[in-house]
Amino acid sequence: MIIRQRRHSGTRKISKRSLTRRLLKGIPIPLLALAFGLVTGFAVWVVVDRIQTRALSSIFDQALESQLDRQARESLIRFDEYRRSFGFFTQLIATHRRMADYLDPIIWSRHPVDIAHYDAGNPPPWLPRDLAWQGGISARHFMLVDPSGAVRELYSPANESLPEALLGEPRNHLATGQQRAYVTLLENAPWLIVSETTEDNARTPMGSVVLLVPLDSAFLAASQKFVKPTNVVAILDPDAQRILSSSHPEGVIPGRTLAELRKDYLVTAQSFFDYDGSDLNLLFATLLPRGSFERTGQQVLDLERRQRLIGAAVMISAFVLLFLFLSSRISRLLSRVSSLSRRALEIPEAALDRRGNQLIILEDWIRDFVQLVMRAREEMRRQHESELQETEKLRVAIMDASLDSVITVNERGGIIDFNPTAQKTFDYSHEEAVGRSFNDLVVAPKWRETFDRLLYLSLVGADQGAPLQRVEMQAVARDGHIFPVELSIKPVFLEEQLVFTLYLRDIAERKVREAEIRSLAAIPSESPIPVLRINRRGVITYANQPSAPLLKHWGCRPLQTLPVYWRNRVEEVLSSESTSELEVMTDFGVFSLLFAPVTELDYVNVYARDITGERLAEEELKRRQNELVHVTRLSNMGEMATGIAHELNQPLSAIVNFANGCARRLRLDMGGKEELLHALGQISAQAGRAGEIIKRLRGMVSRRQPVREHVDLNVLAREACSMISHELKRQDLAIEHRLAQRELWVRVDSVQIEQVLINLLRNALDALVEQRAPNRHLTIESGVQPDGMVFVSVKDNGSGISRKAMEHLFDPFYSTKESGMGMGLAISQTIMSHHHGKLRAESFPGKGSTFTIELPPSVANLVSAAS
Amino acid sequence: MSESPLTKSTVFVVDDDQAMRNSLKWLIESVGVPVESFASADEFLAAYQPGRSGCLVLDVRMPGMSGLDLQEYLVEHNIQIPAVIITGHGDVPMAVRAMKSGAIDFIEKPFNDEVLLDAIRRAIAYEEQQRSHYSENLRVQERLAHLTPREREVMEMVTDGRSNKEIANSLGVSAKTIEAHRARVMEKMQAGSLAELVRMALVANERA
Repeated sequence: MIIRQRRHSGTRKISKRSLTRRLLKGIPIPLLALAFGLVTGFAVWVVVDRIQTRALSSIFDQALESQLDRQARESLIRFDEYRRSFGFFTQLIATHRRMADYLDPIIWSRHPVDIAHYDAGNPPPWLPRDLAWQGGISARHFMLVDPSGAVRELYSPANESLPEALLGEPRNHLATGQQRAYVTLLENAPWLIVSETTEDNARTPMGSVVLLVPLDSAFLAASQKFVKPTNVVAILDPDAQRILSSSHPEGVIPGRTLAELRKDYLVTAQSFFDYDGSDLNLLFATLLPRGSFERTGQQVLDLERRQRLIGAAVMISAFVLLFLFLSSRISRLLSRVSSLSRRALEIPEAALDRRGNQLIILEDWIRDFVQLVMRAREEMRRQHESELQETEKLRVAIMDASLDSVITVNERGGIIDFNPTAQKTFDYSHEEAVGRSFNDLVVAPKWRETFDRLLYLSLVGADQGAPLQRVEMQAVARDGHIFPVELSIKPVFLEEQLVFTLYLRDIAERKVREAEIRSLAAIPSESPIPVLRINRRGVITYANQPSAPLLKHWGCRPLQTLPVYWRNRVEEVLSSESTSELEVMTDFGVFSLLFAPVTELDYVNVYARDITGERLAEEELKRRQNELVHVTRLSNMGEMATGIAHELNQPLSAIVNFANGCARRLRLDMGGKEELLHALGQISAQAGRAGEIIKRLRGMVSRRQPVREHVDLNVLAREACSMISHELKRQDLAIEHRLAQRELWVRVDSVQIEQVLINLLRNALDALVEQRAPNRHLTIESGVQPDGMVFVSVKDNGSGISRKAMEHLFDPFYSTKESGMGMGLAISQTIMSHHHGKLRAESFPGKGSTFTIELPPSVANLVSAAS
Repeated sequence: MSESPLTKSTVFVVDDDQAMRNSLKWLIESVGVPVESFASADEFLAAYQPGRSGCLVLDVRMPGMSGLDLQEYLVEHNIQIPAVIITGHGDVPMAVRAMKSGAIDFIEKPFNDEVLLDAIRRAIAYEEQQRSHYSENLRVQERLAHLTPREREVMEMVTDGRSNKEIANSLGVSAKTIEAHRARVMEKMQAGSLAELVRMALVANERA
């Protein structure tokens, strides 16, 4: 029950999770990994992009600032350098020889005079002629100022008028020789004023040369000549926050406010070097167009983003590949594990569906597997329990069914268990017996001490692993009846105690039977006929008194070995496992020995019988029968005399003809020698033939002892046929021969067998007398029967034999013929049985009869068949 | 001993016993007559071509067709060949039966050689006589076949002993014509003389 509940709760949990699980289960791990990678990547992307962009732009701004700063400084330095070149230029003019030469004769009057003006068409004589090499450097106004600061001469290459402000208060600016170069604001425009003292040849100070250069866009552009045109420099009026002039007047229009410019440019403002002395507060500004920086920043950001994207793609694909690999490994693991588990638990479960999310499938499988294992374990436990119960039942059943009394006692000899056989044998119920002492209750008083000893001995034996010993002792039942029992003791070492299982068998009956057997064993010794027992080696293990003549004949005594011939017979009988009867002729008479093998015990019992009398009687009978056979033969011969005479007539006539032929030839002296010799040969052959006939006749007539010889049965059949050939001719009948092709060897007395065949043939001829000539058939056939016997049959298609005649067919003196003696078939049968053969008759009234003789084949037959 | 008539004839011995057959052959051949021997009547019938001259020596008892059966069979089928019957042990009915069927002699075994040989000689002589008669007849018949009906008429009248004139009158033609017919008949019949032609006519009539 507990298990079932647990299982229920488990399934409920599963159902809760099942929706997401089922959803996840369908998706293979690589796909899941891909999706997860994409989502995470996107989220990280969003955050990182924000942060990185900010960080980047701050870094970028810093870099920009420093760059701007540097650029500003650089452009200022460049500006200063440019400005300084004007200083050198002025110095060059001031110290030029022409200037000195010009000034030499001049002496400045103390009174103000008009300013001497020069223009492009009329350059001043103090200016060096070759100013062209100065490149783009050009001043708007060249002035020669006397030491008091009054302008004495003025050269304006572009014919422009001098700014008013300068003229208004020129001394402020021009009188001091200290300020060599400075920037000032004249008529709202920035100007560079450079001055240099000048002397005449006598080194008398003659004032200074002053150059006025407008700081206009051309100047600014020239100062930044070798830098990218995107960098714009400007002069700034910090009070008004306005541009006064710029190097790029198209973009940075002078007059515009700084605030307006900041939209498009980054502006850095600096104060001029070395101009601090000036009362003017002008600033040098460097402007960088915002557009170019932002584009660069954007490009950097884009590059950054692209790289991040590539990086992310590589990461995700590596991730997915990893999971693909992992999932394939898991799949393989799954398949292996599932097959393993199926094999281990012998679950006829279908193969695991390994599609989808392998991890979840693995998890599911492990859960299922654990459940299966639990179930299997439970099953095993239950099985084990039931087995235990069954074993117990079996044990009880064995105890109950046991034919022996089985009693269990504890180590003190108290009865614990008392099985039904014991209850019946000793007539105590289980309840009565349990708790009592075994010794007191069951063992006969005389044997109690012995039993105690036995109990102890069984322990000793058990330690050494000795087999159970059977001991005979006496027990007593409830009614005091004492009877013999067979006891065996088996000590059983349980965990906490020692018990003994005692098996008792009532052997009273067996004792009686043993006594019976002992008395039965005396039978052969009491037997009046010879009884012997011989073992396989041919040793006579037992021979009773009447077998003395046999032992004497063999020349041995009991426990001695038989002669070799008889030893071999014993061996044969044992290996064939069938009884066999043999005869032995002794000086004391003829004995028939019946050899009965007892194979399981490997000996032969021999029962002998004195058959001397029987043998004598048989001999006599045989002699009489032979006589009868002879008499019958003679009578047959008489009947056949005419035929035989004719038979003889044939060779004799031939001889006469040959002889006469020879005589004629000799008389006429014709015919070759060879021819005559051949004819003479024929004469002798025919004489021989006549002699054969007579010899055969004599053989049939003479009275002699029967002899056995190996002959071909076919030869006998043919001879028999020829003996009656005359009678055949007289009836104008031919015998149809169906004799076997192969030779049929038999060991017989050929005269007697021929006699039988002649008899049968003549009977057949007699049967055919009434038949009309063309329909008469007489067939002689020979061969081997399926049972191995060889046979010759004589078949006629005469009138057959009536049922009544069939009954008496082989009776002596029974004949259906007027002239017959009625001995033919009777004698034939006797002859056949002497040859261990048979004579059979079959008849179909109206259709004919068949007589068959059967004979056992001789050994020669087998040899010829084999060859 | 006149052996001339025996020369071209053959003696056919039929006996089932081989020794007997061989000995008979040996004996008969000693008088210079060729012998052919057969083991049974059937064997003989299979080998014998009618028209061969000679005689039969038959054993009575044989398996299948006996000697007497064979003799009767030959008479029935108009095969004219004289037979000498020999037997191991004859009886009167058997002898009568044989003689009725035209046997030359009936001899019992064992026999005197002269008796047998004499019987054979007689048989052959008889056969010769029969045969020559028969062949003359055949020859005349053959010649007659060549005559035209008128020539035949003329021949009949001539052999009747009628004169040319008588014949001319009865047939209504000239004596000259009969003369010519007569000459052609003589030529075709190969007759040397009238007497010869008359004998031929007699032979022919006998046959008819």
